[in-house]
Amino acid sequence: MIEKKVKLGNKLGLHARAAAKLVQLGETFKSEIKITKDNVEANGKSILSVLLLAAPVGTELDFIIQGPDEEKAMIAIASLIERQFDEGE
Amino acid sequence: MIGILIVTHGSLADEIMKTCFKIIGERDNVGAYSIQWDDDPTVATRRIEKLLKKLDQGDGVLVLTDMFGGTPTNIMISLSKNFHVEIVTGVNLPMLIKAITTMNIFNDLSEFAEKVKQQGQKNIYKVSDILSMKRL
Repeated sequence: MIEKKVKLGNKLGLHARAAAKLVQLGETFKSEIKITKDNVEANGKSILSVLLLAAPVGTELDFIIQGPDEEKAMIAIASLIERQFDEGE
Repeated sequence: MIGILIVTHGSLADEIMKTCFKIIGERDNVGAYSIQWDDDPTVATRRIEKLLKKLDQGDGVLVLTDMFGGTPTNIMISLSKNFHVEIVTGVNLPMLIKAITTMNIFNDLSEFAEKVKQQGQKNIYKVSDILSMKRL
């Protein structure tokens, strides 16, 4: 199991399209992905669950990933967030 | 594979499908039919029949309508005698996202319709309840 805090830098935070990209990326890995913020835990492979986090710009999300490809998954997810979901903002 | 058809009054069906595709990307086997206010119900019924034939790949079609008792739902009820459909009313965006993103994992139309109904209901929130939960 690995854990990492990642800060959202994109203007709109974890909005619907960003959440969809995150979940679609997460679905490509076998590992279980949990995201927590303010006592709310979301399933990183469900867009509706991720949207419940209601995370605006500047929010720090805690990713807990467990499974055979956990390291690859964490690198890919952190990279997507660092690239600001490829939104160009 | 199960197909999905959205049928509503006004332009809602087309717009909610476009909005959903904008969020999760375009998907196959999903259709929309918006019944405009001046449309002849007989013509609308014939067009919906064509769409159902196209969308039914063997496991039936989940039809999401706007409101029980309205023309879109009533037309679908009349068509349900001749087509393998399940109708769920009260279409909303979370319901549609859930339906489209899970349609590949279901083979049983009735079970899929039940799940989509539950998700549509479950994803309606009073926002202040969620925000107070987060402050705990």
